[in-house]
Amino acid sequence: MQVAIVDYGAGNLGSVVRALAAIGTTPHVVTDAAGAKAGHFDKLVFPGVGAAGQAMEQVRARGLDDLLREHASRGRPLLGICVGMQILGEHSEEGDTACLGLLPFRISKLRVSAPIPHMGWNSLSWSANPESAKLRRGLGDDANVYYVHSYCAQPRDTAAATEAHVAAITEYGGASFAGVVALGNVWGTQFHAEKSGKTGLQILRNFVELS
Amino acid sequence: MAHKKRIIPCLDVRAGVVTKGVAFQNNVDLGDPAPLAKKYYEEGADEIVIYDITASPEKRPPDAHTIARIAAGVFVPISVGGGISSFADAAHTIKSGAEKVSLNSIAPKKPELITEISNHFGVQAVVLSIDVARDASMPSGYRVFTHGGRTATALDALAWVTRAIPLGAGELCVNSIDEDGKRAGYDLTLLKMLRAAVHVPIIVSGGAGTIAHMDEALRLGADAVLVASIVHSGEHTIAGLKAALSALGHAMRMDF
Repeated sequence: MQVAIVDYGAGNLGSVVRALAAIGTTPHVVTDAAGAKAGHFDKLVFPGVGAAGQAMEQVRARGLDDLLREHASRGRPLLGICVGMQILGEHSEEGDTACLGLLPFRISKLRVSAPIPHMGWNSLSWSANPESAKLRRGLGDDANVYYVHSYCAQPRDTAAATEAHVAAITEYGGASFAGVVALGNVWGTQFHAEKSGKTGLQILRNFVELS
Repeated sequence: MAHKKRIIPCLDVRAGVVTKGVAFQNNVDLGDPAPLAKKYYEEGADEIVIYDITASPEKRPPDAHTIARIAAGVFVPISVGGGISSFADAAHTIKSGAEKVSLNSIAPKKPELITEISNHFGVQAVVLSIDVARDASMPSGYRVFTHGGRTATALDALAWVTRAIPLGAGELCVNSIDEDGKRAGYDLTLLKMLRAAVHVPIIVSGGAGTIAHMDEALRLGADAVLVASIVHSGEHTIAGLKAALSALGHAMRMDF
């Protein structure tokens, strides 16, 4: 089993490498499509920080968009983290950015009266999403994870938990948004799994151990 | 379910060793930062702050080796400050294992650095850290100091914060020089003034001696409390503080 991290120049790559190392996985780092050869990797982790527009630009410039699409279309597991998760969707309001379109959501600004960015620990409420049992294996009901974001996948109407791709929601400042998304083999966490303590490491383990 | 308040232990590092002073003086050594940071992480620290306190006087960025050693055992965010005076310093610090850089002495001199770092790494990666002391001659009653509290600036604390945060800082860390290390409570007047003035999360620092001190700061809108003496002394553990604050009605992360 080979796990690779997609590197498009995001700042927190090292944190993801260290977290995977802590659960006994030595990930490969792929920086462009030429070096990647998608077929050699069973699983891809796609981290991200910063602005969605810049991230997409870098992903395209390195030919990583095709790599991600090809990997996903072969049915292999893909995990987007934070901005990496956001750009798995269709579009981001941040910089009016067209995204990868692997999952059916749009990213909009978190509009709440509470402090922005939403920064710190918050809990997950799991939905009936078919993947959620795999994602939450080994976790408590009200597990806390570390968020840092100003944009999010908000529901089209009021009930995020009823959307098929939403595996868990989180509430902040009166709004609720997708904390975890999953549709088949494509997973994403809005929070930083690599910096979410034991809970985050368990979620990474659940991804790495997917068969 | 709810957004949680954070308890953040702060490790002042000098020459690779954790140190703690009172009112920014009389430092005592507490040993290697890496095992101490790991211990705090395992006890439920919601984040770890590292200040390389000699970096700025020695005109160098924070020690990358120390950050990397700490990051290897800590799976919560790490914020690093001390001596970051350029974009390259910030990038180097983040690459070494920090999620956030804390800008203090450099920010009044080079406010554009806040924007430069946040444009590249995002606003969440920039913490504006201020050391302030009461000064009746300033419009808000507080003056900004730099260089570990040793250098007075001409800046009024409120005016500076309302100007600097919109430049691209995602968080504000406020340290009261008057209260630092005295364990007599945070400066709540200062906290209230700043909470009303900015929309980003506020971390309070300097002065916690009891759980009641933390309780009152959190009730007044602080999102996080920085703790040093109170845990370094062994009098309280992070887990114990969190349990006590949870019992007082604050939403705390207890599943660590």
